[in-house]
Amino acid sequence: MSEFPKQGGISTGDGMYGILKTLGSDEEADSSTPELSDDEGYVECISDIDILNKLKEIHKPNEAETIMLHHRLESPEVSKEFDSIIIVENIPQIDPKGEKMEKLEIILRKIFSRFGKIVNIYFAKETNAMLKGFMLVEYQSSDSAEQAKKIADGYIMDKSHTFTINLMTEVVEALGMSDEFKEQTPLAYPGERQGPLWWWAMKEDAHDQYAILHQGSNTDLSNSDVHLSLWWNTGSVPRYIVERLKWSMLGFTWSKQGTFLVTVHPQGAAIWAFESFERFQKYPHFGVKLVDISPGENYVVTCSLPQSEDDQNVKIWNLLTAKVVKTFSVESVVIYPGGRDKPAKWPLIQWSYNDEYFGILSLANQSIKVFQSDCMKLLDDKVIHIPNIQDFSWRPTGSNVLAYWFPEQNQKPAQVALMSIPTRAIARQKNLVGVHDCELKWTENGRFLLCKVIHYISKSRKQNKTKTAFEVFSIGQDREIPVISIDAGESVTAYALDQNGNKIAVMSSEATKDVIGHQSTLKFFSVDPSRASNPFLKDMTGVYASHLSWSPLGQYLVAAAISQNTGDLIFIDATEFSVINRQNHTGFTDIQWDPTGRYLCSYINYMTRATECSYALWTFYGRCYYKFTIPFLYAFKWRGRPPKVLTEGEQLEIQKNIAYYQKIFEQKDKKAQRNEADKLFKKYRAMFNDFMDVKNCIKDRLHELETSLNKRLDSTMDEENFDIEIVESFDKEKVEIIK
Amino acid sequence: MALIRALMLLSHEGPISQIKYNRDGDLLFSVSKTPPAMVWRTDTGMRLGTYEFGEKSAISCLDINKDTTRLVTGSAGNMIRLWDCETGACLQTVTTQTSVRTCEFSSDGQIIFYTTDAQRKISPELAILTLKQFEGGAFDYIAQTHITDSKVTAATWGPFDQHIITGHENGSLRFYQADNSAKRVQVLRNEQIHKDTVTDLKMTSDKLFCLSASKDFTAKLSTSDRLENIKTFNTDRPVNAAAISSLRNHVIIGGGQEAMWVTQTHSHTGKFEAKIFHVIYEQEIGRVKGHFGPINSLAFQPDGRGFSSGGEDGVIRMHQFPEIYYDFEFDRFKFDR
Repeated sequence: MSEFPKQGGISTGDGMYGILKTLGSDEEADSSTPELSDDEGYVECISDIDILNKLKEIHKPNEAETIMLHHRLESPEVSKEFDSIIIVENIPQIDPKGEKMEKLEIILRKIFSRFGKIVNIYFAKETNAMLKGFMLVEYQSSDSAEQAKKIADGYIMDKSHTFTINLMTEVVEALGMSDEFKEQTPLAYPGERQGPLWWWAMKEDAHDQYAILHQGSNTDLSNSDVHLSLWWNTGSVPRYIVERLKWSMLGFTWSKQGTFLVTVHPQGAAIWAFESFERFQKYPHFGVKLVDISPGENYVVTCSLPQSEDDQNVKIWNLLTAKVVKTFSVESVVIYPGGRDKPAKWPLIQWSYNDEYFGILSLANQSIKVFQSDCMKLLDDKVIHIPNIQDFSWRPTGSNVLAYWFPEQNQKPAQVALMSIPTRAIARQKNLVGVHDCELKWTENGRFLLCKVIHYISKSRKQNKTKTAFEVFSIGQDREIPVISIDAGESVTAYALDQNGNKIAVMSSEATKDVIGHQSTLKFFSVDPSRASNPFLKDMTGVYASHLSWSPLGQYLVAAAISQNTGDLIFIDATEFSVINRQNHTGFTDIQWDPTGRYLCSYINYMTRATECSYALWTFYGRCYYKFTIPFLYAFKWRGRPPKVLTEGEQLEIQKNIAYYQKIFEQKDKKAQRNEADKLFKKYRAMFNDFMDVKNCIKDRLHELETSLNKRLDSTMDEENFDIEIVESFDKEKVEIIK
Repeated sequence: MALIRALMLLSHEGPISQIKYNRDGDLLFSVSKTPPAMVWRTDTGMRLGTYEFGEKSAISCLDINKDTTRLVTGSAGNMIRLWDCETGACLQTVTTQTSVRTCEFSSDGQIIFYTTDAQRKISPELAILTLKQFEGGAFDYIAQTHITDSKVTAATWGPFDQHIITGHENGSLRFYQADNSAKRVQVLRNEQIHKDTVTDLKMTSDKLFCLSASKDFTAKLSTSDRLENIKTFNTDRPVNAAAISSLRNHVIIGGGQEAMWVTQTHSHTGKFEAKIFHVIYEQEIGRVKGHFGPINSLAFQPDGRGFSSGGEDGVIRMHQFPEIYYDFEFDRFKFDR
């Protein structure tokens, strides 16, 4: 933490210095107690961050103080005055004007006066005049504060209130970070605000990063040789960023916006940030298996296997402070519904797009538990009870809407529905009959919800004959949410919805009589509500693949034969319904588009296919520009991108002037390529020269040895003559044989 | 992708244990776990003849002297045999205490060394003997020593036959030199080059480097006079054999999963290809498929224009490089030329 980049550190330091002055050292000037705790009118209706800003305004440091401030920031002891203040969390949240308030204060004073003389107590208040659940206690000496933290941390006041105590100095640091990267202080350019956290996105080249988890040439699989390495994707040879041994033992992930790298260790999870990839925060959770970060990057979820009944094995952490804000007990059957060797159902906790709510599906209770994440309480203290619910999914952007479905039961038809949160109003529902299974998928822009519905064909349902239909909900500008039904036939093997457009690609294969095997067809449908009567667009034959994947940019898709020896990759342009390129990468097990949608990676994961692993990078039109073989590759992940900064108008402006930018970028690429070639040239020349040097060196040494030996040996002439005779006679005989 | 033609030599009934070209490169000698030893013409792939053993024990090694008059073989039947290359007659035998692992002629063909495996309580042995009276006379032991700490698994003569370079079960490479007066060999140098058993050891034709292959998934190039490791070739499989070209800066590396796992895997995933690496840049530049089991032995043609591989599947594949091989440039800056 002490190596925090200066830029951010100073700006936040100002604010903290302000509060420091007001709360701490100015105590003598003002009569402290009444001003801070009793003057309710003053502090009402502001949040704690506002307090910081307000206090900063009130107490503007003059020049002399600013210099002093800088001096302070450079010195290791940031602020001695804070040492005597502790922050006590989880105190009862009651009305400060009520009768209980006095009683509470007496109790609290009693508890905390044990550690030393209390100078001041300050209760934080909510906007609606309720106590916020934490308070500041200022002691006369820092020793008492430390004592209080040591002893009273975890003090159980009553059933529902267990104190958490922190020294103010620690919190200052944490808050310093929060000021820097949270949304609270609006600035013109989010990029600048994020500063060092979004360093990679602010590089001029705008290249993307990816990380691979791999093992060296070692045979033993005890994780002793596991490397996590990070690379720049430059469109030609990837550029190395960093590699660390044992950086992550059990897999890793990126947060959704790419700000943090999450690593998993037996002792817990950790997140890493900045250009130096220093550890940002750690979350000690023994035996953690699965980790997730909320889309807004405010919370971290860790999950271990339950060791006992009622083991709180799922924990939600505040990302910044690393405090556990909520725990759940989840059975391992829920985490691994298909058995321990099958992939886990993860993330268990689903977040709304802005982290405001999160939901957990409970199949046993037939309900969704939706929590408000600011107070970690059930929404309206009630679960959302939906009989027989099977699955639900949040809309990924735009608004807090969740989609869910349940099958038929007791003459009631099956249903897919959209529910707004927090109102719980059903925005749209669609009844379905004869449903075998259903899958819900949103497009990343929140425009469409795609439900793949598998219907029974025969009424008896005893035959496993099914057909597939798609129900597409389109959430546009209008209040109406039109639903289109697309009948896709009996044998759908793969499907994918355009992430940025309005097409759906469906792969179906049908057994044919004349040709042995299957005839596969790739069909395109429109999901545009205006074409609801005739959604069919086009079909393509001769494209076989087990998976379809659209570029996040839309327009292009790749049909991939995953985990097959052929390893076909077919790149398709969906505007003209034509194959751009056919390529192959033998035996690849996964494909991943980069966040720009311009590059694709196909790779062989050692866990899925125990063979020699490799990954290949392709452009969207199917040119392989890089292929790398690694003995053991366990994971490949692109780093996500922060949300766009420019408005739509500005984006359009850029699109208009694309020709201008193109030239600039082409020149840059050329220059980069030349540099790359130069570097390679130098590297090769150095390697070659080194080798030749070694070679000459040994030659000299051996020559010396030879001359010294020759001096010693002088009686071998006869034997050499003897040798030569034999060779001659042998040659003669050989000549005879050939004749 | 270039096509490389291979002659498949199919007479051996057991897994190939070693193959070697003679110095002229016109003949290829091979031994397998089932006798007899065989000799082949390299231009047509025709089998010229066999060397009949009269016993069934596995043959583990062979060597040909420089002028292709004598062949020496070592077998698991505790026997070193000296053969007349041309007639196929067994001229002389030496009985060892345990099964023979390696044997090799010195460059003048007058001296051989052999190493043996450990058996029961008998520790492995390294011996050097002279063939001066090989026509019927007895062998003369120059030196004979038991090596107690780690078994010798591969060995070859060092530069000017001054010492023997040995590769050991623990992954070390060593120099052993004969001490004539004491009739013993002594360790001159001991370097821990590999992490696992050394499986193959070869000198370059100019005797400047030695190439060692190991079960630790690597092959390494070390200097022949000081055993300094200078190049490492990483693979994804235990390496059983390696060979180095005299023509270009290429090494060829072969191996594969252990024989006991072979039946469980597809030949595609079994990693039985021979891989060609560039010596200087340590990068893989090509691979040759074909075997259905691990490769046990590799040999470059002395002129560097082809190579042969012998596999656990009992097949010897004799390859001639296509024209494109000679045009191939790994570094487009052509330092290598």
